[in-house]
Amino acid sequence: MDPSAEPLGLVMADDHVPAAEAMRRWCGSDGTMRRLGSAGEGEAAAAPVKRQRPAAVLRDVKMPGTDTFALIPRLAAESPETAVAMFSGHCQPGVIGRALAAAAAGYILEDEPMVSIGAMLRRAGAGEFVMSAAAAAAYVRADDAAGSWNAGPARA
Amino acid sequence: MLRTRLEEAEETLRAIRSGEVDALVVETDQGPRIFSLDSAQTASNRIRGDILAQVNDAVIAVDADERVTYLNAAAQRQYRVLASDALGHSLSEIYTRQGSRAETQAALWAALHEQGEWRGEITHRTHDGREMIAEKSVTALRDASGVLAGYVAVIRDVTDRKQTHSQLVTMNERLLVASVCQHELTEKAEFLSVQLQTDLIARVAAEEALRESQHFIHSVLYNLFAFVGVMSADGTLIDANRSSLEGAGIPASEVIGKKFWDCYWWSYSPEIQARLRAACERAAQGEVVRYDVPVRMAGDTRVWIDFQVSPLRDTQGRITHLIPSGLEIEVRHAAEQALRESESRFRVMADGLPLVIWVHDAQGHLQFVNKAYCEFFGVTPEQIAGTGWQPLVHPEDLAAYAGEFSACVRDRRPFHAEVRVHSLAGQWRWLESHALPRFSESGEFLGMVGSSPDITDRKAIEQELVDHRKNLQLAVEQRTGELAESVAKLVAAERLAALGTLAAGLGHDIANITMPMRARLDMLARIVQGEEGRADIEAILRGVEHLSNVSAGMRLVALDPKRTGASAPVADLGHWCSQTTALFRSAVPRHISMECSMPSGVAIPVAAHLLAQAIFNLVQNAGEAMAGQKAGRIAVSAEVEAQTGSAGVVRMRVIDDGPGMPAAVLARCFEPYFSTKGRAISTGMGLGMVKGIVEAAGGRVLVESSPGKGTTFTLYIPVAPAADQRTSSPLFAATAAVSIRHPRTASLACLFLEQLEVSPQRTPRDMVPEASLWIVDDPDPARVAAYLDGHSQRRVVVLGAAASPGGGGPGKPGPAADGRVVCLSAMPTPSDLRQALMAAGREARTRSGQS
Repeated sequence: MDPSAEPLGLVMADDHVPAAEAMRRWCGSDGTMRRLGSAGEGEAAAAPVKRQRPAAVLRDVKMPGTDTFALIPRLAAESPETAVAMFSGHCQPGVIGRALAAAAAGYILEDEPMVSIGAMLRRAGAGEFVMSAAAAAAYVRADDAAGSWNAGPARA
Repeated sequence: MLRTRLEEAEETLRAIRSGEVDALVVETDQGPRIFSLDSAQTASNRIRGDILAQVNDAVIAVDADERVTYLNAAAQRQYRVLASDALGHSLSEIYTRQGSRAETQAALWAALHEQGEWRGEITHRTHDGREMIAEKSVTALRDASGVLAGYVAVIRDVTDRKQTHSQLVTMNERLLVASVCQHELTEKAEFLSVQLQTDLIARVAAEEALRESQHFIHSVLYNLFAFVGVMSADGTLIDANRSSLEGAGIPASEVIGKKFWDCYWWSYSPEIQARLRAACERAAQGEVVRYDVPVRMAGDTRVWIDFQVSPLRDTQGRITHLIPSGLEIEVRHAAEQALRESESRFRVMADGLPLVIWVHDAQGHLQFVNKAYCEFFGVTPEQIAGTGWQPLVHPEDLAAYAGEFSACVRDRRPFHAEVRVHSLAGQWRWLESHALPRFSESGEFLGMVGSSPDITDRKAIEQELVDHRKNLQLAVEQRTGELAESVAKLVAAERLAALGTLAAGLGHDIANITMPMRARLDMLARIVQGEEGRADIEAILRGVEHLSNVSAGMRLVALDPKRTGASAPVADLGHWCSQTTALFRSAVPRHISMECSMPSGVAIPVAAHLLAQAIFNLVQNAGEAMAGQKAGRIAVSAEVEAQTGSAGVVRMRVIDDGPGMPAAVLARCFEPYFSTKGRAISTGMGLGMVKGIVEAAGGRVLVESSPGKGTTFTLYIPVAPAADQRTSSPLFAATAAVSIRHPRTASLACLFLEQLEVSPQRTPRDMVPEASLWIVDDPDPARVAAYLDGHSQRRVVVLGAAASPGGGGPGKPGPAADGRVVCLSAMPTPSDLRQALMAAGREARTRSGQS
């Protein structure tokens, strides 16, 4: 990790308070990431994204207040440089497929080691598509993965 | 008179004895004789003897011993004995008394002793056998001292007198009777005389009445509406009443004296005349002839009459006249004609119907059957007339059927019954008979008319329905039982489902807790500097990791086994084992050890949650079976067995040293709903589910068990090629060169390729010449076409090549003609990209393997 590199600006959206609080503390603990905002409900994430234009958004799949998969394109429209990555304990191919179809920048499972979570967030912030291996395996091997590729503008 | 003479004789005798008489004049056959009684005793005795000899009465003297001392001539004649033979002998030698001699003699002697005499009538029998009735007068003879020395008896035969007297009495009685009869006859004659006079008067009156009656009868007949006449025995009409004449509009002179059949009434038809003449001839022979015939009336019209000609006899029975008579029956005849027509129509209709129809009379006797009846039974109407139909009925049904029919006829009510009958085809058929009572216009009961449709098929269907109902009932009962069992299973299943939901929620909650814990521990690890602090953090991390695994295992076990795609296939058995072992261990008693060991890098085509549920089930079963043991061990292991032509087979085993299963249980352990457990949540589906999961993945399950020797379940599951197996896979050489301008698409493609066992290398398109799959994107179709032309041997996935050869148009992959090239849009959907890469990757693997 390049110490001189700019910390990754991150907005976190999770309705589970212990997880949200822990992640808030964690993302600022090693200097590689900087929390720019957080939200406890779906629509609440839009404001900090629009205001702070973070490199990445780590967002729980299931949150009250809005349809996450409908929100992803809107966030991308507000801040094209922001990568919206899903952070979930669900590994069902259908859910993964919907996230990919909504042009999510990644799908990270909660049981990934914390170090992997950090690395994947940074890669997503750099413009890559990231995905936990278990989620990728589940999706590729599934017979009925659904969804359409509703990608936003390509990023360099 | 005799008594008088006797008394006179006795008086004379007394006078002689007393000497009061000097001479005695006796009337004899020779005239009167004078006997002198004066002087001596001897002379006296002689005289007396002479006198006694002359009397007509028998005089017998006996001594005290009743020996005969004297008997006169009359006695000798009367008893036909000689004096010489009788004198000195017992009186009983002369005659025998009837009755008790001793009593008679005792009475005689007693009377003599007391009174000196005895008189009476005796009946005795002479020695020559003649029965004699005699009047006997006995006088005692005493000696000088007055002692009774014997007696003298005068015996007069009165037998003839008695008989005459008896005859006279009889005659007197008869005369008396005759006298009475004469009186009665006289009275009767007087009565008869009176009667005769009365009869004469009555006869005169009767003759007068008869004349009046004859006049009356003649008047009545003459004025009758009926046609009446009189003709002689040869058929000559003598008289005709007014109705017959006026009705025909003819005078009596026109017909009187003519032969009856030649009269106006009949002369319109020779046939009728001939018939009438024959009828008259038969009547003249004593027969009454009657028939319906049309008679000619006034205006040459015809009227039907009920005609009769009968003989008239005199008191000796001789036929003297013939009486023709006729009663108009035009209405009746018209009604009968209508009835005949109606019956004819009925018969035509009945014969035209394919239904068995029958008619009975008022007595219940079969009168008519239609054509269908005869054809159905193969009989003629004559064969079954009356009660001849009864043999057609089944013997078991006849009594009830015939009885009910007779009752309906008797009560004149509708009849309905079902009956088996013997048809022409030789089969017993079922008929359903309906009949209604028939009545004339006047209400007279005429009988029954009925029909009998063949209901054999209906009965068969009804029987079939009954059978079906029974079967259905049995099925319902069986299903009800099964339903009750199912309900119990459902209750258990619902409980399991509730537990599953609980486990899923609990697993999620644990995961929600462990992730922040890990985040904070990761943060702490960077802060804490000391060794002990780091060790503590590592220990806590291991605990959290254990909790995470339990959580993951719980969620796997709780997922719906029937839900497709609920979890991904096991990509790494080792990882799967680390996630699930903690849960397995929680399913067995603490005193039973549980070990789980599986190789890493082995993938199998079984969804993670299904494998977790299968193994959890086997471990849980073993743990429950061993609950009563003091110690025990359950070992879960897996190893890969090489297999030619495939990636190999995983042999997964669950071994316990529990009590084992008896052969009977072992044989049925995989059957659905079979369970030896008493726990309420057992569904008996566990082992069946294990078998189903393994077999769905193309594997099989074996079980070895015997009492006291534990149980081993062995699951053979085909190995699925996985990324970590590339070192041992012939597909290792498959490599993709990825040159995609969009980083997100490129990284997604690389992720997919890795999952498809193809090693991606993000590189300029021609830098990896050994790759077996190239993924390129270029917005310029011309360049893509040039690329494909220059690399005709490469398998290529082209993105954004809508205009390239084989392109399917914007957004649609167009398969290349040879399958070598797959074209996608510039921004394919993840699903399209996945499918294109999978197809191309398989192709690449195949070619790589071939090379």
